[in-house]
Amino acid sequence: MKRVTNILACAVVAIVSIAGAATIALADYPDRAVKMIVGSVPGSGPDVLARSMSEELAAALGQPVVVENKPGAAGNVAAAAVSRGDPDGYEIFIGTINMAIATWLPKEPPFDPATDFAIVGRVASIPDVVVISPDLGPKTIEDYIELARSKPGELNYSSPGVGSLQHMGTDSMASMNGIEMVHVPYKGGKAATTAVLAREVDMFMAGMPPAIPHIKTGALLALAVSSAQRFALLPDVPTLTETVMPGYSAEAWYGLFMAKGTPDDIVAIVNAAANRALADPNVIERFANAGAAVETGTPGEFAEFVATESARWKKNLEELGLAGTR
Amino acid sequence: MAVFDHIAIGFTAVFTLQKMLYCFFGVFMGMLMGVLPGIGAMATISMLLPVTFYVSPDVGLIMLAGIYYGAQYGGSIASILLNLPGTPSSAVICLDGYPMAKQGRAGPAIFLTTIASFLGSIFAILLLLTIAPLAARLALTFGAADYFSLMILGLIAAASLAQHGVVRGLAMVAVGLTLGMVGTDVASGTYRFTFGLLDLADGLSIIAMAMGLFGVAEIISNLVSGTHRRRMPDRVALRDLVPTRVDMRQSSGPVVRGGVIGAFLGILPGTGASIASFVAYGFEKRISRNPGDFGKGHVPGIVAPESANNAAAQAAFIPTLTLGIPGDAVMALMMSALIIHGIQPGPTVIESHPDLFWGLVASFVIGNVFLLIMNLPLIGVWVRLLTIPYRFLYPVILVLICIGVYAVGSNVYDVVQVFLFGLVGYLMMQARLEPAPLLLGFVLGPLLEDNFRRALILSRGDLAVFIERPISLSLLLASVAVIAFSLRRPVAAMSEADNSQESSQ
Repeated sequence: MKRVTNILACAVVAIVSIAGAATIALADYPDRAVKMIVGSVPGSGPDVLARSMSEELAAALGQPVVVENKPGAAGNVAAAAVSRGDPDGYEIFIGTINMAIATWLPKEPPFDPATDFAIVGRVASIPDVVVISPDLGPKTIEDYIELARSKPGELNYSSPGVGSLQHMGTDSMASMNGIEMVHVPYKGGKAATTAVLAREVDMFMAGMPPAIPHIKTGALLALAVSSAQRFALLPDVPTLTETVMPGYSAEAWYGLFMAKGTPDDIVAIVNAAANRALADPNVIERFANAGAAVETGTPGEFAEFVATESARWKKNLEELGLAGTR
Repeated sequence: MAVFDHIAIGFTAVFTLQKMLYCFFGVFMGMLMGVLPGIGAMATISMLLPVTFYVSPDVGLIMLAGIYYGAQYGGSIASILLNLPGTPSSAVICLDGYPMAKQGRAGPAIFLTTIASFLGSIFAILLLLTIAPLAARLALTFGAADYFSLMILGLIAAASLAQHGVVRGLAMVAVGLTLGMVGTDVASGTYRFTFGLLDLADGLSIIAMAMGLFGVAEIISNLVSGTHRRRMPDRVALRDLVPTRVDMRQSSGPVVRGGVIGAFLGILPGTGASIASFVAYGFEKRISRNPGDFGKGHVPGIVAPESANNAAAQAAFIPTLTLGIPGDAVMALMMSALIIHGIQPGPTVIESHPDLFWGLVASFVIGNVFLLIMNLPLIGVWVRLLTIPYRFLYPVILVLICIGVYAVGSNVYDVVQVFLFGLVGYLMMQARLEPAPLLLGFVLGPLLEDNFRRALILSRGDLAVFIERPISLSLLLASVAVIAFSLRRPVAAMSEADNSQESSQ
């Protein structure tokens, strides 16, 4: 009997959406498995977060959640596809700060993060952490800046790529302190971290996940974090804003997005389910293991945040002469 | 002896029913997915990663690791039977494996690659047991300039992959290097040759390329010519499956050299099983007294790369587990499985979780024994696949290729790429241009270029960096030595070998 009603419901959904009506059998959403799209390979930051919360999200939604990886162009292949997908709420994209950065690099931006999606809510933030080899000498971020100032153009820093958050952050640190360092881009955060471990470069403003294991073992020395407040996992490490970059903060963020035109009611359902999943202590612990702090909120708050971030990084890329160059 | 303590800890930890079952399941899935074209370890592990949330981390890791090295066993089977590399690292097995199958020697070929896989793995496991932390630390001393020089050596060793003359071979390497430029340029961040397609921002898909140039091209060729050139008896006798004494004798040297090359490249982060198998093949051909035999079903041409890619797969665990530095994308995935459980990979794992570390190493031994026991009786089954009429076989293969390639990136575009490369591969076949050097150029190209430019950024543009660093210098000297060695061989003999090669086609 349940099956018959399900089929009927599907039929209703089909008919209504064919008719082009704006509302889609909301009472029944979700009545089948929901896909959670990750824009990068399994094991990457967003993938770990998606998988860390998928089970709890499924429980909150009352339907299975299937994580699907669609890697490419720093997640923007998947983001562009989701943006143009069916606005029925069955594809949830776990977006990252790259939507507000990598988007502005090509000559023709694939989408506008602030306007081309139904924005659901933020799920996590991950600060960057300035790391050096303990053998380099400096013990504090101020010492490091001093060292860099005494050797203009001699120190190297790595980044996961040209125009990445970490590249821009280090560039801001250099210009705010009047120091000169050479940028050595690598393919991804893990390779950039390895470069510091091997002492091929001197410094990396790393994303938390690849750096934290090495900070814990003492192979890397954490000098400062990029968030506005100190980071829970590294309470003794000062922030950049309280030391050498007053007023500065930048964090990688993760949030949920759906196709443009998804009804507000569905967005509200997913937002409530996500917030419930994110309150689960297991999820909080898994996020913490991955170096991430859980963030919750309303769709409106996150939409406003995405618009601010998008404008901020677009401007920063323009200042670096990188926007619209690819 | 510390080594025996480690072995004792490991085997005590791993001999539980649950762990043995997960180990078996992992290697079985890995082997199966390795056989299926396109679906490699990466796709399988990502599908099964969520399982590890519900078991303890050591159990989960044993399973995931089993998939990874199990896939290396399976990959060569389809290469031998159908000229269809199950994984990119087994593309090079096609060169001599497929001719063996066409001669009706598919059974011995699979038998030999299975043994070579096993021995290559065991060799790398022994390294893992004895000198893991030291080897990993040595790997860290490799800088950008050293990687560049290593890639040069790899290219030179592998220029001999060509079977239809050096010029054609070099031309294909150059095409491969060029195709490797497609995508985001690491040094400047610029998109190159993407034609505005976001799907090309990360470059062309190596899996699509390997499947297309070898497998799909072969299918097109068979369909066009209407001949399938397969001599396969209706019944397969056991003695047709077992290698001859000569095969065994020819294998011993190549297996050892392949294992050494594979283990070395596996330990280095960034170079993995694909490069290892190509280089091992190129090396064998270089040092062979009869390089003309390669490409016609020569046994060292399958056992050396097979031993190398398995050794590389096992050795890739060394930097991952001891330093927390993942050698490739699959290793990065394993690391995140550990991190989810709150275990930080790195030097402390051995001390803080000895059961986990040595248990995992012990599970490698057990997993490889499982694979050996499982594969040998299956050879008959695989070979019987060839008795299926081609008109039934090829649609199934094409469907499997599509599913496999799609499963890797959930991107229809990759499937389109496979068929484009299939078409290109067929045209290349007509022009007697070979896919293997092209694929190698494609694999080495980005590493060569990135490291060259990175070395120059670090040296502020001073080219002397390549001869000032001892590792880089020795690798470059080795490259010169290889060239000198091959020049010493009379050019006439080389071209004669090429001619006889061509007339026999």
